[in-house]
Amino acid sequence: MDIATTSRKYGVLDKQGWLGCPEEIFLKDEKLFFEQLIKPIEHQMMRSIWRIVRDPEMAKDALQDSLAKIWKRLDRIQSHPNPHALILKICLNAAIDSLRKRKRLHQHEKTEQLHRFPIQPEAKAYETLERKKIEAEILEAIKRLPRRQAVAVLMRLIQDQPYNIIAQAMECTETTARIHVSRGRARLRGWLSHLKPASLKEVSK
Amino acid sequence: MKKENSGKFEIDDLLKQTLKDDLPPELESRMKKQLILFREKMERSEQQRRKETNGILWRLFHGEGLKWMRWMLKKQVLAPASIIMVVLGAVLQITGPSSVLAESISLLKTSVIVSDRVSHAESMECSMQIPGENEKDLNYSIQWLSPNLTRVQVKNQNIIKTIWISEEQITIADHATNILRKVEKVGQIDDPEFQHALDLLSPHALVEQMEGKWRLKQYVQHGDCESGTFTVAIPEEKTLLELTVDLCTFLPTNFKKFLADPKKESGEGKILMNVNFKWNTPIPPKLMLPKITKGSG
Repeated sequence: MDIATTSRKYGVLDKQGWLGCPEEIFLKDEKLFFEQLIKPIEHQMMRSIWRIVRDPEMAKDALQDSLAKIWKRLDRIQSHPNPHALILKICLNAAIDSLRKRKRLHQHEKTEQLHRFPIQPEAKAYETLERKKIEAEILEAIKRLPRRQAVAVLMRLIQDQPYNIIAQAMECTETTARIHVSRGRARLRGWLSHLKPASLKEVSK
Repeated sequence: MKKENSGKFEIDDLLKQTLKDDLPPELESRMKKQLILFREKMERSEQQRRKETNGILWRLFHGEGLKWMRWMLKKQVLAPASIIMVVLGAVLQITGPSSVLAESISLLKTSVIVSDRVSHAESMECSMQIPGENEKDLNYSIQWLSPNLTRVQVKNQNIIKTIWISEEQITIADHATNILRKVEKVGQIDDPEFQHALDLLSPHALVEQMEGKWRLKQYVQHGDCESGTFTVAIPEEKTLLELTVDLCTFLPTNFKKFLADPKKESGEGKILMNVNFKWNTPIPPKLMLPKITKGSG
């Protein structure tokens, strides 16, 4: 391969001579990164975060944190055996972090939240209030789980990932991933048994 | 088992039902904007990085005064140039002599290592001869017993003197007269016999000489990396010094001091000092305490 061909390959020369920087060639890799690794799972990323934090501002912050982490770990992600799973794990981690940072909501904040909902009939308003209460308890329980168990359970339940993918994302064996999910589930079942008394309490005996 | 499975499904269902996939459309569009901004940031950052790298190339190859560089990088010029360089390389390889630059780098590298090794030495023993008139040579035995303890003994037909230098004090014993005296600093040692040995009293003193007074002139390697000899000039004393170094340990094995003689090709005149080094492991200081019972302190 002569010099001109080599240089053209790397985008330094064209047929007439020096061109400077053909940026489209250099940017190819970065665009590919976004197109191939982020674009196909951007909906999953957004939804995973939302389903855990359940708060618009916090969801935006968590997504921003995830993107910052992805930016820092570009090389690691590119060389990972399952980059999509790793990116989704990063999002979950950011969401859990965000959840842990959140202070217990004060009563007036709760009231404020309720005002954000459109006016509903009395029965429906009660349902909404009840749903928010359960949601808060579940989020509190997720917050209390050890980090790896929380990630494994959420990857399994929220993202519906198979165990081998969870194991790849968490960089552990499939058995370990299964153990994390199982233990996480058991803890959640113990903490949240009062929410489904009939079925859950029976199991915990 | 059945109950456990049913428990799992209950908790799965509870989580799935409560943490629903109900991302509000408004929030979704805001989050999408974040992703678009992230993509733009990635591209901008990469563009900037590439521009910085290529800016240097651009300046090199587009500057008015450097148009010749473009010409130089043309295939028609590069091909013959590379052939010439290959031929020149082969000629240099065949003719043998290494470049002055390589020699000076090797000299500098070796001298730095030697200096470092000497400065970290804990124990050494050397014999030193100073030729005198009428076969009255002075023979020295210098020992660095530990980093803070040195013993020097000088002998000839008429004199036997020993000096112990420790952190606390310096003790000088004249065995011929059985006089023992103490001084506080090395500078207070006024015996003319010991003046020749002052540069070898400690690793620090030797390294100070090497780095301060010695001017390296030449370095010759002997054998297949067995030893090397530095030729050093000491302008203040108008003397030349040959320091032979073991290239396994990078510690000196011998040095000879000559009076500089410009008439001779090597520049070496009358020999003034001959020192042979032996590098040891440290000896416990207690074993080497002075045992003089008579004399005044």
